[in-house]
Amino acid sequence: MSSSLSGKAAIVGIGEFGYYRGTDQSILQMVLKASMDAIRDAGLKPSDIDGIIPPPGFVAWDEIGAHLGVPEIRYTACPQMGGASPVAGLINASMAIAAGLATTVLVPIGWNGYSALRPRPDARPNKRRFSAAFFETVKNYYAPYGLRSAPWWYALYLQRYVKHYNVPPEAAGAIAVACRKHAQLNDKALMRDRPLTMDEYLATPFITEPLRKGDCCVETDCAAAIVVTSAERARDLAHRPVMFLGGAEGHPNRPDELVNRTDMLKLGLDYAAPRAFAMAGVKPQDMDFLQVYDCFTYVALLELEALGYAERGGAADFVKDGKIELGGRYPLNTHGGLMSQGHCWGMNHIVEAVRQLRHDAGRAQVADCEIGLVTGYGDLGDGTIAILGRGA
Amino acid sequence: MSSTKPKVQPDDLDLAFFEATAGAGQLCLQHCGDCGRWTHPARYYCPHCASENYSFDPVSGKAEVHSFTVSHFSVESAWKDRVPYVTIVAETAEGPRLVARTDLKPGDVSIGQPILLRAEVVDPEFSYVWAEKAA
Ligand SMILES: [Zn+2]
Repeated sequence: MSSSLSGKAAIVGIGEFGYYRGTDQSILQMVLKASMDAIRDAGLKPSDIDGIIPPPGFVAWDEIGAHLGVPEIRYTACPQMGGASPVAGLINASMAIAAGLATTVLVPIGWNGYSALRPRPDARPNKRRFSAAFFETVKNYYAPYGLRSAPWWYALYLQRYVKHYNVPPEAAGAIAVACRKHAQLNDKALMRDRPLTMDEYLATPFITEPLRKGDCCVETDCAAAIVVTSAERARDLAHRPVMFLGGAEGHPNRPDELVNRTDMLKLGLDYAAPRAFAMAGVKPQDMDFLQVYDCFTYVALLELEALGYAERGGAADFVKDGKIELGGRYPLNTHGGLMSQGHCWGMNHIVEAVRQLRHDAGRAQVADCEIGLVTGYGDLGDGTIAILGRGA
Repeated sequence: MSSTKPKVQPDDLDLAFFEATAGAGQLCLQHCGDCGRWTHPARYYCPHCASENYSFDPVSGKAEVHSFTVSHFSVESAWKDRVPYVTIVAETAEGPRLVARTDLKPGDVSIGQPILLRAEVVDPEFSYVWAEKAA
């Protein structure tokens, strides 16, 4: 073990709720259901939880703890980096546990990603809001220019990626097709029973170049949660533990805007990945699966490059010939990902990694897998990565 | 053609940037009083030399296309009738990059192409940056 944090903590419980388009559940209710499921999955009770790392918006640690009946909270922290937050929460929980500040930490997230913009006529209005520091930049310098939300912001750098490196749409399509194929094996995937071919992907209309509709993940109402505890405690719980072997966060220079980075294509993950592999003492080639944050297909391609699977501009070759599909060398997003299971801020990627390493992934099981990685990507390029292993 | 003001309420140095541009009637950027380099968005400490001395000064408008997107879809009333519209990441001769709107058509924009930037003062608190074909 090359780091004091490696191997000190483990994921022992997982919970998921939803991936619906429309629900009567409030965000708080969904987060609580996923949380209670994760606690019970571990074979624990709310009174065993003493740390809560809440999502970066919508619901807070204090109400989560109060509704679940957690009697004594000893540790909270709130990483604020959008879709990079769940993995950051896992790293933070592991750190708090290794430092002795908490014994068992709940990390939940959830939102009404579908219903927020498309409420049912008879639904109670959602009053929960989300804010982030970079919204100031967006309001002053992007939104007035017809760049209203994530696809339009990220297109500003993804188009440079595509044009500068001649990235073919088929490379992005390979991500979309693999995720959709894997979603067919997941009963909790929004796009199950809706297969996708490369030709169908290529025929989807442009939203904002280079992003087609087929490059954008699917918004759903959902929640997911994990429970993290010490390696020692993990041995006595309900499931085989999934060990935290390494992790890191990284951020673009500068993180609060997109266009003035020396290299617009250098993501937070470019900084974080080498540190995570070093902490775990492993190489990218050691991974049995990759759960890569896939808000947009082209972002996932850049992440694969940041992880070291290809040179800059070279991910197109890496994703060819089924290499990222189940049965290939590096199965990617074996649950369907944000692209085809649904957008749960990447907590669903952690949950799936745990299922895989428990050898409990059903028809999507990567045979005999021992180690894999999960990435997060959020806001204007924040990046996180965790390397997880099958415990004893 | 004059643009209507979008929903913006800039404060701090973002407001100072817009006020300087409106006051001068042309695009102004933050200019370090010590190292002389330019920064956008404006920062309280110069990212190059950590100086707190700055002024907002007019820039040449010379720039090139660093990146761009062509939007084919919008739900916004101000934009949905304009699709497909081009939005440019412009790299100024002074260094900083800015997002700019343009009347250039999708086929007329490529990375590396020289362009000219100008400010359209909408009100004291907001100006649009426009990109035009360089002469
Ligand atoms: Zn300076």
